[in-house]
Amino acid sequence: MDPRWIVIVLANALLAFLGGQINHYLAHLPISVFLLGLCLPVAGLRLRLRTGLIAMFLSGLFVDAARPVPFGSTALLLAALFTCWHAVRSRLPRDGVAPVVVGALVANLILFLAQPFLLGAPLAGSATWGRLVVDLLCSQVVVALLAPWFLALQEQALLLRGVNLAEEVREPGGAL
Amino acid sequence: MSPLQFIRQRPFALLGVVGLLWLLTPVALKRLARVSLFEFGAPADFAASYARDLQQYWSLRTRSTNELLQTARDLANLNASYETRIQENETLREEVRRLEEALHLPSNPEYRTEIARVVRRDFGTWSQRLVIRKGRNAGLPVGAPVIFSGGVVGRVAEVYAYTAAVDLVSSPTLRIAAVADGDSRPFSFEGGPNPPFTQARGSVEFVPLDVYASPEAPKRIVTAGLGGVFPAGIVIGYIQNLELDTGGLFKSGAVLLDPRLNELHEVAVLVPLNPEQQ
Repeated sequence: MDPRWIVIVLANALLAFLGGQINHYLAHLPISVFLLGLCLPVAGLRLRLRTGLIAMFLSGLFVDAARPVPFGSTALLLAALFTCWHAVRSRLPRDGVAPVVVGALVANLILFLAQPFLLGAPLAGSATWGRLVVDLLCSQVVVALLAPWFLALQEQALLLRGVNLAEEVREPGGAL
Repeated sequence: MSPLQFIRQRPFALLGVVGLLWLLTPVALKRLARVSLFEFGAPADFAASYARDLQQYWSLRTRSTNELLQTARDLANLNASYETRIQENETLREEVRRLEEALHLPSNPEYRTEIARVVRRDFGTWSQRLVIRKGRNAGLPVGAPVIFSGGVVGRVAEVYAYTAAVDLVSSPTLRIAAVADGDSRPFSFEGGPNPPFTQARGSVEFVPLDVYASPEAPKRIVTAGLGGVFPAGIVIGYIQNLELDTGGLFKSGAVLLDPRLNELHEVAVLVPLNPEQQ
């Protein structure tokens, strides 16, 4: 079995758990952070289409299981974003941490703004604009801070399974 | 590039196939996948919750003996007052039962209380939820009301083997029939929208015109007991202001919820003893 998607899905499950714990403590304020955009960069930049699609779809299903959204909606959204990213990645810079951070921020913004539609709630009616702005800002800051660590975590986890993504992307048919 | 050429590209064709397959997947299979994936992640949340309990235990161990003695004395006073209240409660219950028999009234639904620890709080932008450490193992049903010492917490939305998800009263997904304290005319309460850095809120609509409230003199609202979910008389919050609806027939306004709602550690689930009665 391909270890790539398994490692990516497990890393994303860990991210969902950590996000849940951060939000547990932030509930006192009350604000929340949304980190789903972090699931995308490694798959979008380094994985092949089939592996990435499986990883994103399963990650989305895992996230959906604990949220009051139609089951599979986040999975399809992540898969669609991954496919778009995969289609245009040859025209984008891919080396280093900066593309990962920028990609995660853009993906997080899109996924965050898609949430009210998935939840069936009006964008403005069910949350104040103040809350929306504060949550989005906090989420983007946390995503920017966590992105380099999360990239390194996934790459190291894959290295433990004998997969060197940095080398792989330079091979014929790879991402670079 | 024409749109036709664009969608003919392989990645998007593959995405379309994945989407189509997912739409055609039987609902039972999706339900099974959802429950399985939730249960797969549940032990991690459980472990974190137990770790927090252990952390609290060790922090309490650092307290001095004098402090503990003081707390024990306070608790003894509290217990004495609760003993008296329990006796009063029993007398009132007996009186209600006698009156129901005398007047041939249908009896109020009865509940058993199931105390549960909070595993995770999720005060998201658009929905607020709690995960509690009891589920099917404690016989919790979907839709059971959840309360705490400050009033309504929410309603059980999903039940799993050892956990349950509770939709909070501050969540826009929750609607409750409410009445103003001392009034019997019901109106609608809905959770949210919640601003940041302040206590949770809700809103009321279809409030009768002769009900008044202001920040200086807020009006307490309680559950109406309609709809068969929440028993009557449980505190929801305080109406801060009321304004005329666009139609001019009713009023609507903002409700301030209990500030402790954001930091709950333990809640009580009311499990109906005779679900068919409701």
